[in-house]
Amino acid sequence: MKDVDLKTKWQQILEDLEKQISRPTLKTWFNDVNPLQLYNGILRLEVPNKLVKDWLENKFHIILLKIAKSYFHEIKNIEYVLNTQIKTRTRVSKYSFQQKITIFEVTPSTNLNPRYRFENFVVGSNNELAFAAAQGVVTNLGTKFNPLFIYGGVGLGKTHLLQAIGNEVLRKYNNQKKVRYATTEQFTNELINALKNQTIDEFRQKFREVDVLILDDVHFLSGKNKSQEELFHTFNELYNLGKQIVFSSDRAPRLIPDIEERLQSRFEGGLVVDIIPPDFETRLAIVRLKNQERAYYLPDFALEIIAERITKNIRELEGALNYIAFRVKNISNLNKDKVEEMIKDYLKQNIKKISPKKIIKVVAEFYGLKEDDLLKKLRKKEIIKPRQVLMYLLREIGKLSYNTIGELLNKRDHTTVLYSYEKIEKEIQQNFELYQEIEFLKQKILEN
Amino acid sequence: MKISLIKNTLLDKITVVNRICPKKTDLSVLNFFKLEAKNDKLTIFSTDLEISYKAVMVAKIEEEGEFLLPAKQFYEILQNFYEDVIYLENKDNTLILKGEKSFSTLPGISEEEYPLIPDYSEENYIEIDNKLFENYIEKIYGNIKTASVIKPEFAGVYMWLQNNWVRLVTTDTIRLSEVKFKKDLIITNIEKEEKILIPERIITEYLKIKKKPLKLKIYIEPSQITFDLEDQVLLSKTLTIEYPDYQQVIPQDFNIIFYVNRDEILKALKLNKVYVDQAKELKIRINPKDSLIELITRNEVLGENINKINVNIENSDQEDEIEISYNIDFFTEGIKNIDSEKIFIGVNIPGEFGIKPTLFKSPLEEDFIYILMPI
Repeated sequence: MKDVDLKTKWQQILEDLEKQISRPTLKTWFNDVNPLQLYNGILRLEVPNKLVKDWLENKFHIILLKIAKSYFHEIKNIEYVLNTQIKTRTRVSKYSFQQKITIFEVTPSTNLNPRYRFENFVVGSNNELAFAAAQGVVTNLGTKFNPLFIYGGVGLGKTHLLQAIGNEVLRKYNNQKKVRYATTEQFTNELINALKNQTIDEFRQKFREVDVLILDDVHFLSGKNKSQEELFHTFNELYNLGKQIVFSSDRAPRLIPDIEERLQSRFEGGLVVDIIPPDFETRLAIVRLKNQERAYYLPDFALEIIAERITKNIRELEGALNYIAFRVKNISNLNKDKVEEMIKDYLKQNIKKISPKKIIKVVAEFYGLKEDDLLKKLRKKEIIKPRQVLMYLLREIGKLSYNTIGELLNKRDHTTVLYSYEKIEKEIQQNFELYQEIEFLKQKILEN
Repeated sequence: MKISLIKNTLLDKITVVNRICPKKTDLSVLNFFKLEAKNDKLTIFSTDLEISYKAVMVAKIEEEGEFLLPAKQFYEILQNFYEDVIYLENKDNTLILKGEKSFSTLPGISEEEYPLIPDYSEENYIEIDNKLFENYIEKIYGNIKTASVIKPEFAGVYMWLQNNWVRLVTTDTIRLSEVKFKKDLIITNIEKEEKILIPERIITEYLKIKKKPLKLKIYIEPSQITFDLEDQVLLSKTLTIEYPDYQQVIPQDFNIIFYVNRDEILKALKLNKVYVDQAKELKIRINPKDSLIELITRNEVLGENINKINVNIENSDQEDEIEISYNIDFFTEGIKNIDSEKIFIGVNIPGEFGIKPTLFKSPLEEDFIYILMPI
């Protein structure tokens, strides 16, 4: 039976019930009672707490069953299910302007952060297609672009756009649609926990009984077979029910390594759009917005310098803005040279000392190799490329000299290292897949 | 029903009943509470369906029975009742209250049925000293109050039972407090790790209730939590919530660490408080070179107030002056809740990875920590 029919009939049942019990009684006991489903002759009702459950079971069961039977002939019994989810209330308060601890900002039932909205997403030529697609999804849930697959590099606003879709759906449909946002990491971890604790049903309920499922960073599914299988079935079930699914990744579906073909083809089944790094105008618009949101009041020329100097990712853009804002004591004394100097300091500060060990570990993990094999003088084909990438990253992020890198990799000659570095640097320009791989690795290394 | 008892014994309990009974509801029966006289004991019970309260007291019972009374009106009468011993008797749907000199009536209900007193299982219990628990809760309670405005989903005490430790956590998304104590301080039969969010209502009620300095027993069931104070019981439903892994937001490294004298900074903050406006902004200028901080508040009408305080800078990767702003009330609360003479404050300056909170704690112990986001 469709949800809508069930809901209308439930309303009629309540109206009939009101003729037999007083209105206040009806309001108290039935206000938060909702029909969940009618299956195999059993009507399942969701009740807010144990008191109501006991009361309905003891006092109203017979009369309720009688009325229900006149609407659904097949009905045999009624079951009362405790609802332990919290109702979400969003209120505007005097604390709205305050900085929040991000992990607590999310709404537990949807896992969405209400801060990410369409209104504060800066649209530029780099992301206008993705933005339009996201809006299209909200107005035509499950019909127009299903699934929607958004990909792009780190810190370009994928998560913002994804969460904005979720928040907009809640707003537009008055919280009547169930939305669930999760990062692939959360999906995988919860799956593992569910398998371990034998709560797979709860897990499925969480991800399959939704109207919109948003899964961020699906490239992390690479090599995780069990998660891929689960997602495949989740996808099919939701898709067949006409529910909307949205994915994001740092690369196009066909470039995600170690992923089953059937899943890959499903990723590509709807609309695939990309987001590229923002141009100067968009970057400036972003810093202006952040400057306003945070009430920093930095002058325009300072913002222009920031937007000009920091080109690669939005997170860094924000970082530079914060850095400068907290060091400026007197805005009227601020001039271009001072800003330039601070930007230099900021960029210098950002070059953290990263241990070569960490780089080796991340690279080995990413390619599924043993750290030792990567360092040894093995000449297997499948190791050569990762090793070159490793050398490149040791130089690029680790800031090690060619000699030191050579020493580290079982006393290779520094010219070998130089060759590898240059080779990768050149290839990045031509091979987009490699470029994304390296960007991803960089992010992984810098993360902690 | 025909009973007599000491007025004050009853008044303490009815005060709670009056708080529990919903103020605005369409349904009359929930504005009532239940009196039950049986076996020389008077039991009173009230509920708003979210939280329930039961109290048992000794009374002289001449005739057993049950009766429903409107909470608000009964509370008003009892509050102003000037005699020590009170006699209660119902005739049909009217209650007669009398003393030696006074005689009053109050309409009640004798027939309609009242929600059933929820049963609870004592299978999984935690036993803790009342004073101790109260003390811990008071340290972290402030966050719950603001949380019920900002983020009701987290308005409660997150209790995390580990192998050797018990942690109590509250947050309102702007700040977070954690109390940590050895599991030896409680008696429990729960051996595995347990995580529960105890709702705000039951905590608030627990703090307000007049209680004997006895042990508090907490019973934990899948969807219910019970506070047993021997003569009084509070029950509430608990919620399934995925409490985020809050430990990941507790900063470990800082740009600047300094130690400040508690009394000195509290005095300054009091004066600062006079100068705040609606935004409640307290600006702190940290000068690592001179081991000095300045607390600055401004107000359009009064002007400004600046307090200089000498601090011990332990660690700083900054040479220049840094300015960082906090909500003055939240900042003061953090200081107040730490008992030590010196207070450790670890500051992080916003950077590439966003804005990190500031950590407050006692320099030696880590039994209480408070973290606060800057404005």
